[in-house]
Amino acid sequence: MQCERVQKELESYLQGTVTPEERAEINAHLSTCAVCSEEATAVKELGQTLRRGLHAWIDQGECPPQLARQIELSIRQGARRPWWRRTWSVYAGASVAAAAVLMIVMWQQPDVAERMASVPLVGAIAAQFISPDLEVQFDPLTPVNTALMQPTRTVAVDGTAEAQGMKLTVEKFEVSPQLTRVRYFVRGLMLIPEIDPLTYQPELSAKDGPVRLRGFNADQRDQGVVFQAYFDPVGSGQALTFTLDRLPVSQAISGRWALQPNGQVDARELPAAGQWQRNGSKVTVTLNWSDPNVLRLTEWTATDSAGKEYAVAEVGRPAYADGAWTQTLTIEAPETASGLELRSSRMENRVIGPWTATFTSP
Amino acid sequence: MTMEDRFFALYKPEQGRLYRTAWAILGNEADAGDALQEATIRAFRAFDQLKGGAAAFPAWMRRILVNTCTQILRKRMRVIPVERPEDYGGELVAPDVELPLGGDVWDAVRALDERYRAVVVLRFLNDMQLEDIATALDIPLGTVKSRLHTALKQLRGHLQGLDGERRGAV
Repeated sequence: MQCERVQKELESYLQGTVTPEERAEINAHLSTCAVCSEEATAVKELGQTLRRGLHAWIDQGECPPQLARQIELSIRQGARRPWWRRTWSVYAGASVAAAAVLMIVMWQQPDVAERMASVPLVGAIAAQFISPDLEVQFDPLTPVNTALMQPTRTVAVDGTAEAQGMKLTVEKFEVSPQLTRVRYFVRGLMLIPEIDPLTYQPELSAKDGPVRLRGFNADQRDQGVVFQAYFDPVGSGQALTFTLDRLPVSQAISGRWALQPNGQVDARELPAAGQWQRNGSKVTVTLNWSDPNVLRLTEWTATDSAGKEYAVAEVGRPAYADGAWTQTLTIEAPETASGLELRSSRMENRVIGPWTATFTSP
Repeated sequence: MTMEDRFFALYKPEQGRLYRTAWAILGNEADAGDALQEATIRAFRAFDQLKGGAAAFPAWMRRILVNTCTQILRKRMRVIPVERPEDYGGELVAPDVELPLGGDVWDAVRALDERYRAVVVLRFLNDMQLEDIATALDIPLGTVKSRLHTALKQLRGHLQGLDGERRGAV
C-alpha cells in the first residue's frame, strides 16, 4: 500500500473501522515505513489533544441566562395548552375533500386516556389509542382501529422520497377486507399541535382514482414523526401512489421588527411589515405578509432601547384573507418605554413536497 | 413533581455543555441557541419514552441535540454547489483570522472553515464513526475522510506548541 493511501486511511484505522484486509495491509506498511509510522503516532496524539481540548471547553460552558429562560418558558407554556380539543360536524359520506373534520382528538400526556374514557362517545376510541400525539377520524360512529385490520395481507414497501430536508419512508402497507393501512415515517418533522391537523393528511391513489382516507394518527419521535393512515380497502395487485403534498413545519428563525415613531413596524430580517398603536399600557402590533406558506411567527420577546424586556401576547392565530396573512400581537409596555423592538425566534411554515412513494398492493 | 419539573431537574445540569456542543458543531452562538431550543422541545416531547431514567438522560439528550444540529447543517450545506476537495487548497481558515501558535484547542478548531470544523467536532467531540458523520451530513464517506485529513494537517501546526508547553510545565 502506498504512503499516501495509508495516511488517508489513518483516521479510520485508528478508529478500528477498516476491513480486516485493510488493517493487515496497513499494519504491514507501518512496520516497514518510519514516515507513516511517525505519522500514525502524530495523528493519534493530535486526536487525543483535540478530544481533551474540546471536552474541556464544553465542560466550562454556560448557557446564556436569557436563552435558558426562553427555553424554559416555551416548554412550560406549551405544557399548559388544553390537552384535548373536540370538533363535531355533520357528515354525509365524508370525503377527503370535505373541509369539515368529524373528530379531532389530541393529547400530550399519557394519562389522558383515563380522562377521555369518561367522555361519551370518545371513550371507546381513547381506550384503544393511548399513545398518539394526534388522531383524526372522519367518521366517529365507525372509527378506524386495529380490530378492523383482520385478516391482513402485508407488503413490505421500499418507498422513500426526500424533499426540503425531510425524508418520507413508507414502512408497511397492509390490506384487510375493511381497511387499508399505511405506516410511514417522516424524518425531520416536528408536529405543530395548534394547527389544523388536516394539513398532515396523506393521499393514496390507484389507477382509477383516489382512495378514500378514513382516518390517521401521528406520534412524535425524536428523529421525526410516525404516522398510520387508514384508507378504504383496495384490491390486490394494484399500482398505488402514496403522496404527502405539503407539511407544516416549525423552524427556528431570528426575526426582528422595530416599532418606528410614525406608527410603522419595520422588518429587519423577514418580509413582514405592519403597524402599531398604543392603547393605554398596551401596544397593539399588526403584522402582514403575503407568502401563503408562512403560517405563523411565534416565540416573541420585546425589548426597549435600554434592553428591558416586556411581555408579548399573540392575539389568536394569524388570519389569511385577500392574499395576505395578518397576525396581531400585544406588548405590555408603559408609555415611557421607547425604541421598542420585537423579536421572533420561531416560524411555522409550510414546506412544499411532494413526497411520493409508489408500490403495488398485495 | 410535574413532568416539566422532572425534565428540567435532569436537563439544567447539562444545559451549559449542550449549548457549547451546539456552538462547536454549528460555529456560532446564535445558531447554537436556536438548535438548543429546538432540541430541548423535541426532547421534552419524547421524554416519556426515555428508558433508563436519570442515568440515561445526558447521552440521550446529547444525541437529540447532535441530530438537531446536523439537520441544520444538512439544510445549510444543501445550497452550496458540490465542491471538489482540491478547491479548498489553501483556504481552510478564514483569511483574516490569525491563529495563535500554541493556542487553545477551541481557538484553532473554531477558526476552521465550517465544513472542516463540523467533521472535526463530530469526530473528536462527539466520537462519531466516519460513516455516521457521512450519513449525518449527507456527504460521501470519501469526502469526510479527505476533509478530516486536511483539517488535521492544518490543526497540527497550530497545536504543536500547546503540547510542547504542557510537557514543559510538568
